[in-house]
Parts: sequence; structure tokens; C-alpha cells
Amino acid sequence: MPMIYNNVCSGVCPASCRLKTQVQNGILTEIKGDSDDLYTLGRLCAKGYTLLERVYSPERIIYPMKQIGKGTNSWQRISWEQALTEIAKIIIRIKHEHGNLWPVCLDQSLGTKGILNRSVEGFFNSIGLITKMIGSPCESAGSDALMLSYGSCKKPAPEDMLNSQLIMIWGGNPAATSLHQMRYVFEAQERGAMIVVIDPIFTATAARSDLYFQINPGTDGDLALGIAKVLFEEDLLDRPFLEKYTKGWPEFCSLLKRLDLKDLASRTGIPVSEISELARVYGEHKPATIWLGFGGQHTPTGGQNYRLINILPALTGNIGIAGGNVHYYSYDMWDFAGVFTNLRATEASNSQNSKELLEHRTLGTGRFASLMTLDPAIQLLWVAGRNPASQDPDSAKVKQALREIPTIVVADLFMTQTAQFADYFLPVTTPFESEDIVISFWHYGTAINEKAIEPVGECKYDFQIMRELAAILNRMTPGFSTFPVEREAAEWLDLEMQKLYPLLGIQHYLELASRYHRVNLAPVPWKDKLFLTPSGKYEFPLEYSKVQVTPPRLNLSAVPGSSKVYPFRLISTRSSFLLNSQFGNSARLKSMENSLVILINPETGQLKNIVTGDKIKVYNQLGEIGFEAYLTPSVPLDVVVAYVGVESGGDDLNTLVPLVENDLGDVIMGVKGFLFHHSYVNLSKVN
Amino acid sequence: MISQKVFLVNPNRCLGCKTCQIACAVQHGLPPGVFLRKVELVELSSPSQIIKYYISTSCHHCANPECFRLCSEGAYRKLRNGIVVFDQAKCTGCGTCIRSCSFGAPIINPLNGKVIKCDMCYGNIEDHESPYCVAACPVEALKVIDAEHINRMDLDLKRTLPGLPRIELTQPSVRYVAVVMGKQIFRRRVPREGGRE
Repeated sequence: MPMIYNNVCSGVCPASCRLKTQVQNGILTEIKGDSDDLYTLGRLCAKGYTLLERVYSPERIIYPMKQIGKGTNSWQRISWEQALTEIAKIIIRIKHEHGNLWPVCLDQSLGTKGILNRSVEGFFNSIGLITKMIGSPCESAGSDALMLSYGSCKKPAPEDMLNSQLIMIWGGNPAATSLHQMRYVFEAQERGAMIVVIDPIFTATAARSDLYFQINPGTDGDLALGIAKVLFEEDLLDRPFLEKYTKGWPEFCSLLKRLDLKDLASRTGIPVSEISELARVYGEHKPATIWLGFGGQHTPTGGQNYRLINILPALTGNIGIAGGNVHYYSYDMWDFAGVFTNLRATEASNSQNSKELLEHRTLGTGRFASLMTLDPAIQLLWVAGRNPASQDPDSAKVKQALREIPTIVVADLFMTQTAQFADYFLPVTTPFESEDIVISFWHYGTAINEKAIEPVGECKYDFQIMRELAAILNRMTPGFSTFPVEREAAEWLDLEMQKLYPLLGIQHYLELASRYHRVNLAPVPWKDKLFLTPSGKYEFPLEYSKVQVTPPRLNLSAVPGSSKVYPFRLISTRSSFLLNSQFGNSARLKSMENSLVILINPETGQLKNIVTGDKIKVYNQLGEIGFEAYLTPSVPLDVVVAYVGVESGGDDLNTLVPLVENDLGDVIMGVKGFLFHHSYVNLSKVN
Repeated sequence: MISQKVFLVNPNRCLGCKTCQIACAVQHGLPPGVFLRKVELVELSSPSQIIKYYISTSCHHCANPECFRLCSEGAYRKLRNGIVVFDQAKCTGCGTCIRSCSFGAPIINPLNGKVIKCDMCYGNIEDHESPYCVAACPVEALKVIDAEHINRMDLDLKRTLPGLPRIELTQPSVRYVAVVMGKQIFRRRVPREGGRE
């Protein structure tokens, strides 16, 4: 008799699909979408259909392994006891030699979104002050833009798009990243809403729009200002809203007056007449909503550009109304009690020898070259839910750092590019092998992972690994960790969820199994027009208006490689068949779609004597990668496009991407984000 | 009277996500690389406009199926609801049907060397459920409808689309919603600043 369990796809994806998992004799036999999921209606994506194969993949590492000589690929199976004891000894030795744990570094992110994954950071908090890589490689510059404008990142509920007369999708390709949300877009479109897409690439989303604008990459702020200027000149403004609920409008208005529409238009590549049409379309449809993708902010002025896009709903009074606002991102649904993050080492443990050590040492995520310059130097790096050798810019420098750090521990499912540099590989469980909770950052659906099967091989959940390591440390040096090792996972979950229970309408997290539950955030934010900015009003971006007439412009001469030698701008975009570097090893997905392609405009192809299917070398000052050419009119002449997460002979796309910081990202996260659409390359045919 | 079942494909909704393609393969237990349904990109460009859409294609369960006509083993049958089904037990793997089909629907199953083909999940249809592909589509771009309803639908339905082969001899049981392309503003070439862009 098969048993059915409730699970949830736990990758860093907006949908967080609820799953129904069938188990027979302890073996997973089927994983299906849960038709009770009100967001997905039980429909998965292509990746979802490979989840079962992933659990039992022959490539999965299911025993703890030790590499004899970093990067040698000479691995030895060891016991958990040996792995954790050896790691514990290193941590204790570091503490003994340095008096503190700054030489221990944690690099963790959302490779999996389960709440218990927070135990990794909790564990490190429990042993003392370490070095943490903080910030986000993802959405942080855009989130800051919303933070500065509204005082908080809030967004409407997904289905509020059905109330919109116009949906402007800007800098994102949800046809590849948010399949289920496109259901709402199409429904709105069929009811008469206008779909506008702004993107440098004529994406699958753009192809379904009513009005598409191919923008010069990185000039989103110029286009927003152009639209704003026309809205102002043609009096398509909501003046009562501007007067009552905003700060800085008079100053911003005088800035708009000084701007030259022709100048703005020439930078965007979109003619004045078309910008005017776009402004009228936006100004004359109300409610109108803007769906900001994560793509557009990965440019040098991306944060400011997103601030400028956010002036449009303010000018037209599209804030706080059903069908209006900006759909981007929110953190509000992750309002956890913080029991893991609040863990602290005992005072004696912290202050030993070094009184100035009162805080963790922090460094921006991805900054591996800087990591190597720190004093005291990093001696142990712990990587969980991340693959920096693939996902961080300038992969060669990341790999160089990974080669030099004396001890690296990687907890993962597969032998990732990062794990190849590990000294210890700790095999982790999939969402089907241990209990946890996942909350969607898009629709706030909150779902449980029931333990459907026993862990495959000797795999352990991150939580279990940290708990056992804490116990071993305390056995060797009593009091080393304050991690409450006796506390079971279920109790942790219950504690962490306490603040969210009222918003979910439940008493205990086990109720999440019964049906779709959503953290009950306001479906339409800012209805009360009480903004969380210092002024309590919506705030116009005035940071630069005093010193410059226009927003900061991209100084191309400062861009590494931007020259005639490297004439093509490389834009990395999302494929439906990859989730960052995850799923790239699925034979089934590979057989369905070759993601290792470089999209080239046919005119460029003609110029370089390249046709679809040719083997291509793409290169710049940082390195080179082999691709297959795919000629398409959907990309502009001076741009080439490749998919995030692809790997060619051990080198990831980010081999070609320099590490350049965003202009924002540090307001919420403490460190700036970085750019993925700002690399310049050349290409040639490989004969 | 039982009406002919027809695949209704809406290119104005299809995202190219290929969920239908993989749902079919996985739920039929096919090995990686073997598909009974395929999603393909059609991209046609003129100086002012790109026609771009995705199309999901499997067996069209033709009214006059060539596979059925040419199979010397009598392995093909056409059900009363129009679904063309195939009996693997009778198949010799000769490949005549594969060569006869203009849509590439029958393929060789590498597991046993015999032909395999979309059967519209007729068991599901009999149980009043959708085929796996239809049930999987996150945006309802793919449906199965009754032929008798085609004329009553408030949709501009076509037998073929720009860029697709126009094959009427076998009367494929498929209808497409006419592709709608919006207005497209392609940017002017921006000269590089200071000779750089």
C-alpha cells in the first residue's frame, strides 16, 4: 500500500510548489504537484519532474568524503564521526591559536530554503565570532530601491495582477522564472489588460506582450525619467497623491523640467515618440502595475534605476490601490522568531584574549579575492547551500581562493564546482528525507516537508550535521558551543514559527500539511499610505539631484574589457531548465534542451561567419568558455546572451563576468550587490 | 455519438517551458531523451517585426492517419473518439509508420526497438481526466476539446500557423489559436560613447 506524503520544492524559486510524494516500501515512487496548492494548481515546471531522479541520481554523493589533496579528485570515503571530529579539532585548534574564530568563515545561501537550514548560521553563532560572507548576489540592489522609496519592501499578492488594466514587466522574463504567475498575466490580458514588456532581449515573455520595448541595457533609469517627463508635461499625474503622500516632489519636478527628453531617448535607444506613447499608455491605464524582474538591477546604476522606475506609480497614484503597486520582492513573510540567529557563544568563549572582538567579521558575498587579504587569514571555510565557484563573478579568482584556503567543508548533494576544492564533502538530504518548512517569498504559501523516506545512504540534513558537530565540540571542549543539542528538529520548527502562526491561522506547524496556507500579508500594500520611510511619505530619489542634472551615468571607460577588443555585452539570463547551478546535471533536462548555447544576432553571425550549431569560443580578459551558437533576432546586435548556471568543461559562465559592485544593496543587507549583465566579450568560431 | 478528440494548442499562452513534454515522458516511464511530445520555438523575422511563439506537438491523431493505412501488421487502430492507438505486441519495428508520418509522431523506443507513440493518454480520457501533458501545463496553453465544439468556440482557430507545415491530406486533429503578436519597438543602434558604445 503506497503512502502519500506532503512535500515542497525547496529551491530558491518564487513558486515553492507543494508536492504529493508517493512512497512504496520506503522508496519514492512518484512526486506530483499538489492540486490543493492554490498558487500552482498542482502544476510543476520541467525541473519538478526530475526531482525523483535527483534523489536517486547515481551522481549524488551519499557518504562523507575526504579529498586527499585539494583539487586532486582523489576522494576517500570516511565516517561521519571521523569527518566531524577532524573538523572539530581544526575549529578548536584555530580558537586555541588565535584566541578567536575570525579565521573560520561561513558562506551560506538559499540553495535550499528550509527553515532548519538557518541552523547552520545558528551553529556558528553558537561557537563564537567568525567571519561571515553576507549580502545577496540576487535581488539586493532592487530591494534597497524599494526600501528607500517606500521604507520597506512590500508587494501585492500574486492574484492582484488580475485587477490591473496594465501590467508592465520590466527587466525580467517570467516565462522562464515564474510560470504560474504567467497564468494570471494571461488571464488579465484576456480580460483586456495591456501587457507591456521592457527588456533588452525579445524574450518569451516579450513575445506575448501587447507592447514591447527593446531597451539599451542598463538605461532603465533614463527610460523611467523619460516616461516621467512626458507624464509631467502631458499632465497625466495624480496631483492629490503627490501633494499628500510624497516627499521631494517639488525638487524632483524641477529636475524633470531640466531633463532633455531627446537625450534620455538617445541613451535608451528608444525614439522620443515611442517613449511618449509608452508614457501615455501607462498614464492612461489605471490601475497599472509594474512587475520588476531581478535582471534589470544587475547593472552599474541598477539600484538607482530601480528607484527611478518606482517613481512611476507615485506620479500616477498607482500606490496602495488594488491592481497597482510594484511586484518585486518582500521579506515580510520570513518574520521568524530568530531562535537560531539569536544563538550566542558564552561570554567567556568570545572575549578570550581579544576584547575588541565584539562582532562577527563580515565580508560581502562573492568577494573571494578580498577574503584572501584578511588578517587573520581564513583557515576554514564552510559552504552550505551555495556554489560560489559557479555562481559568483570572476570564477577564476573564486577558485584561486578555494585552492588557497587550508580547509574547506562543503555540504551539498552533488560534486559541485565548489566541492571539487573541498577537503571534506558532507552529503546532505533532499527535501524528502527530513522534516522542514518552506515559505514562498512570492506568494507566501507555507508548506511542510514531511519525512517521506529515510535519508539515502548516510546523508544527513544540515540541521543534523550542525547539531552533531556541536555535540562533538562540546565533548572535546565542554562549553565550546551553546547550540542546544538536545532540542529536536520539531521543537526548533515550532519555536521558529511562533510569530507566524497567527498570520497563518494555525496553532502548530503540522497543520500546514492539511491544505494550502499562506502568510496573511496585505494583498494590496500601502492602502493606508503610511509609508515606513523617515518622513512617513513616499520619498522621491533626490540623492543626485543637487550635484548632477541627471542620474549617474555609466562610465564605460571604467568597465573592464569594454572596448573594441570585446565589443559584445554578455547578458546572462534564466533558463527554465536550470536553477542557478542546480539541475544542470539532469540527463533528462539536458536531453530536452541544450542550455550551453550562446544567443547571437544573425547579423553578428554573418559578420563572424557563424551559423546555428557552430562551436564557439566566447572570451574576454578573464577567460574563455566553449558554447554552441544559436542565431536569433531576439537579441540585439551588440549583445550576446547565455544562461545562468551553465558549465563548460568545469568553467561556469561567471568565468567571463568581472566582479563589479552595484550602486545599492547595502541598505538592507550591509553590502552592495553585484552585476551580472556587465561583462564584455568577443567570440570566434572554433574549427 | 462520440466526438473526435482534438488537441487545442494556444501559442499565445505557451511559455516554451516544456513541462508538457517532460510530464509525458516521466509519467510514461520513458528513458531520458525519448519524448512523445516536443515543444519547439518558431521564430520568423522581418525588418519590422519578429513572429515568435512556441508550439507543443505530438501525434495529431489524424482523421486519415497514414500510419494506420501503411502498417502491414495492423498495429494501429483508431478509436471511436478518434484517438489513434498502437499495439506494440504487433510491431516488428519496421519503421514504415515513422517514415509515413509528416509530424514525427511515431518513434522507436530504444528500450525494446518497437514503435511508441502518443495515445492521448486515452485511459485518462475514458476516466474523464486530461492527458498528462494537458494536466501539467502551468498556463493552460494545451487542451483537449471535442471536434463538434470547434465551431462554437469564441476563438480564432487555425489548422496551421506561420512557419508550420501545412499538411491537410491526413486531416490532423489539431487546432491552433491564431498567433497574436503585439507591437514591437526595437532600439536604434546606440553609438558607443567615446567610440566605445
